[in-house]
Amino acid sequence: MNVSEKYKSFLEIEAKKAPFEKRRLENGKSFLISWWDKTDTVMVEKGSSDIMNLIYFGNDPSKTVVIDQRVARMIRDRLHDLEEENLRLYSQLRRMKIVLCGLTAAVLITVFLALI
Amino acid sequence: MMQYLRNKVMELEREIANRFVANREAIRALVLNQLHPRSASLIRAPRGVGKSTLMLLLLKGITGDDFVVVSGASEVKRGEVVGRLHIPSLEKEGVERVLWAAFVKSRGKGIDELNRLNPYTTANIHHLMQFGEVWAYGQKSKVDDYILIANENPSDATSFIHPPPFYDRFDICVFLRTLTLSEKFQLQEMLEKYDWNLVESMPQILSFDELQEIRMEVAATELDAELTGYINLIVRDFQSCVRDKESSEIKPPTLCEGCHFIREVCGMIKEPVSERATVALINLAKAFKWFYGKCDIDDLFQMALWVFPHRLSLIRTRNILVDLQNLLERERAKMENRRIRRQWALLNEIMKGFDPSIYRLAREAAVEDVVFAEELMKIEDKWINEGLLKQGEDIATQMGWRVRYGSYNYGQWRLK
Repeated sequence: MNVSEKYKSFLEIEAKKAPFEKRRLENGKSFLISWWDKTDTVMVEKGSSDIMNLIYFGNDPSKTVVIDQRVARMIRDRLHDLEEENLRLYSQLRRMKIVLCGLTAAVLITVFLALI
Repeated sequence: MMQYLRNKVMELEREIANRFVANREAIRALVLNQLHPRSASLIRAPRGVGKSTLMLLLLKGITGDDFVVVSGASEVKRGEVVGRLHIPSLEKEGVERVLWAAFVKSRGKGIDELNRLNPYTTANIHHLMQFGEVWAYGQKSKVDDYILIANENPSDATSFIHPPPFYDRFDICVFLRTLTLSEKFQLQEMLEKYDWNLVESMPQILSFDELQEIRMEVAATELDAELTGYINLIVRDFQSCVRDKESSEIKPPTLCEGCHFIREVCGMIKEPVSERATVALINLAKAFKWFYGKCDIDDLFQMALWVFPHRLSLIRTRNILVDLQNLLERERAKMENRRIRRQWALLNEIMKGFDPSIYRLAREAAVEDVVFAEELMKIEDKWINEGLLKQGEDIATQMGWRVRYGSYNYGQWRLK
């Protein structure tokens, strides 16, 4: 099989850039082939990496989402506000439940008195 | 000297850009493509965007007045583009003497409205581009080095549809766009500055001898194995098909029904690019390296946008440049995947000899990658001939692939 020298060196270069390791296992029969990435790589992919686009425009997120310091602070404040609003609504709901129970009791008593 | 010539090319680009608003990418591509012998460039654009102006600016900047433009819209006399018979010689001496046309002799050749050329003229120009010679009345004339620039509006109704091999002879195809609001103002100022005569005001920047010297230097520029590898890889990814679409009567998407690789780049391409795409990319990469001092993979992907659009057809085309850009982005991701899966390192190892554990991983990679599978199958063939692997255990047989390589399916009758 005739193989171009340039093709061989292309494979050598690529192999050096992304090598793997082959070592014999302790049982002496099988081999383990492994590799790892020295640097973090980000794949080019569809979807938004900006959190604002995710929140406001409903875009699909990419694997990595970037968040700015100001946006992080804003989101923290928003969460805080939402928590407060949540607590306020929760207490309002509890009050309404009590009122509703009272009203139900009043209606029942009224109906009972009307019947007898 | 080299710097002097580089400055000249830079000046050419600048002078054209001074007379042509926007479309800087197209200007850059066209200038770069002139830096190899017998260059042929195609400009595509809608009506009135400046195809002819850009063509003339380039011709004038490189050849001065030594250029001839034939027009598809008005060129009606068959064969006159190449040569005509010298009637007095025939009448007086009975000798058939051919007067070769100025188009053949001139260094700069322009074709306006290429898609309107008649088939006879197209055939003559096709032959000129293929063999560097022309024929008329049984006589042949060699054509010296030249630059050929053509333009067309693909949406215009044409009299004849030219065959794909003719378009394949054009190294690159660039698209021009219409001008934005602010650019329209720029154009009006430019026209006033040059007294409404952009082409006439264009000086000759390079002499043809200087261009030929540049072409020699560019040809002598060495590309490293890595860059050459990427060029070959990009082109191969746009060609390969496990169902051999090149010679199949059924084309994608019908051909791809039930194919393992249906979601791959190959499944989107109906007619693949030819080997000339590799040559064009190599020429451009050399020119780029000569001009800018370096050329990397990002530059290659940019160049592929100039080299591929007129050479392939897609199963669905909305906007050829956008569609092609999407495919190239996928190609980029695929290259990264190959790196992550250590495919080239695996191939590099199995090239050295049969190793069952590495071969197993290579087979897994081949199931996801046609180009890799082709290379693995060649090695498998060798192993089968050497008795290291049994016939039927190879990936092509197990997956039912019919990948053609070397010569036409000769692999199925292996020599013992």
